[in-house]
Amino acid sequence: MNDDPIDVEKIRRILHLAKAANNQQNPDQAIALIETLRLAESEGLEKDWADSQLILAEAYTAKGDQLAETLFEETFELLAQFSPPEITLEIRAHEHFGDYLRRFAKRPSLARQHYENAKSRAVDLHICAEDIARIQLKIEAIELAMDQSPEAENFATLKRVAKKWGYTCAEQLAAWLHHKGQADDHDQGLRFARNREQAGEQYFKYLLDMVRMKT
Amino acid sequence: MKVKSNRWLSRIRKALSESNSEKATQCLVCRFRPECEPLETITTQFGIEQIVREPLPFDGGVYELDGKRFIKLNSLAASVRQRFTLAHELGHLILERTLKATTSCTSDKQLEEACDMIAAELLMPATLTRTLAERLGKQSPEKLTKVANYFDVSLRTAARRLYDLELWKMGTGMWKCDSAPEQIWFVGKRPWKTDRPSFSAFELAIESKTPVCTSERFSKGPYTELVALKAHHIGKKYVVAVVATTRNAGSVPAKAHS
Repeated sequence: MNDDPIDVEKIRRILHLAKAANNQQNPDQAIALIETLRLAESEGLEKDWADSQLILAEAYTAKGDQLAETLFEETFELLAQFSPPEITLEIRAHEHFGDYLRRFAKRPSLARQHYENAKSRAVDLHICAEDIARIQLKIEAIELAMDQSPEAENFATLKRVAKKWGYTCAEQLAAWLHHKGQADDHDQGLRFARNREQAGEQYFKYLLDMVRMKT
Repeated sequence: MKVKSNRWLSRIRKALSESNSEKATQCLVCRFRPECEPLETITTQFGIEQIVREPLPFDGGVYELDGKRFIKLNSLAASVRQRFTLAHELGHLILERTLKATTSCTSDKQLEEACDMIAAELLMPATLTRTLAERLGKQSPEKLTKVANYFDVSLRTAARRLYDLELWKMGTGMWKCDSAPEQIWFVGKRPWKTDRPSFSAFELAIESKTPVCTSERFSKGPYTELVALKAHHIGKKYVVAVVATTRNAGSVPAKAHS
């Protein structure tokens, strides 16, 4: 038992640093920082405890370590006890568990469920459109992969162009939805086509520019 | 002419009672283009009312809506590519008229190849290409540019046509030479396997205003082989090179050059 008085500010600073380490692709540093904390039994710090578990789960996801799955499950158990619910943490947990399931556990349908959970909470909470778009793009990608859709390559092209030129997730999503919406128009009355299945980088750049100009 | 087995080309040969694919394609194209009319003019013979240029997620196609036919071309593509697509779509219309080739869209790879061949004849008529190639003489990257400019086609289309007509027999390629050269296309038999070959000719060409000639070795399994390269920087770090395998230079064990 540790009798030291709890320095809440210090704890939150460490959590902040650990999150930053994860964002900078430095999971080992994030894990080391979290391990300096002793929060489990501290009253009034339940949210910080859940946050620390989530940061650990995210760090182990980045390392591709199976321990991530257990840590996410523990995080969900902790989050289930909050009333009112901690929706921002729930969104993060669902989205990043989805990432783990998609990238490492190769369980796309379960990953899709978690992304949907994250998205519905994000919509309920009216969080920023960029976050919702980011999650929706993950859902689009997973659906294309699950369906083995020929459009998956076009989606990859869109993502590549967007990364190269620095488009936001909201812009990417709008461009992708425009592309999907136009597919029927492009097919209507089409008798012969050249290279029908592959949309070029220029086309997605054009759509992304168009979306940016509109907004 | 280098022609792979293709049932549509066989049908063209049969329809025109001509055993040679190149001549059969020439005759077929002549039926619809007796003089050297622009491609746009030929489309009217097939009831095409309009050629629409707009941003498309593909190169283009033939449309039929409410009894009206039109061609859409991807306005985002380079003009030479748009021209090739227009010629390719004309290929579909010609085959539809002559052979009832009504397979829609791109489900038939051999039909697409046959349309590419008709497109090549429309853009670079064999007779004219042969005359020009003979006048220009020995194959080189600069002459490839001349041929492409003359016919208003891409360098790749020009290289492909010259190779298919067996006018230029050496391999030709284009590489983007940023940090490491990356192949954009290669026409002919490529002596090496990698898409990222490392030749000093590319580096020298980037720094030179005139074409650069080198003889260099590349690894091929446990051996090295000799090739002669003529490389020309065409701008923005794109290099076009003609590649000749040096006969009788022999394969030399790699260690001999280490």
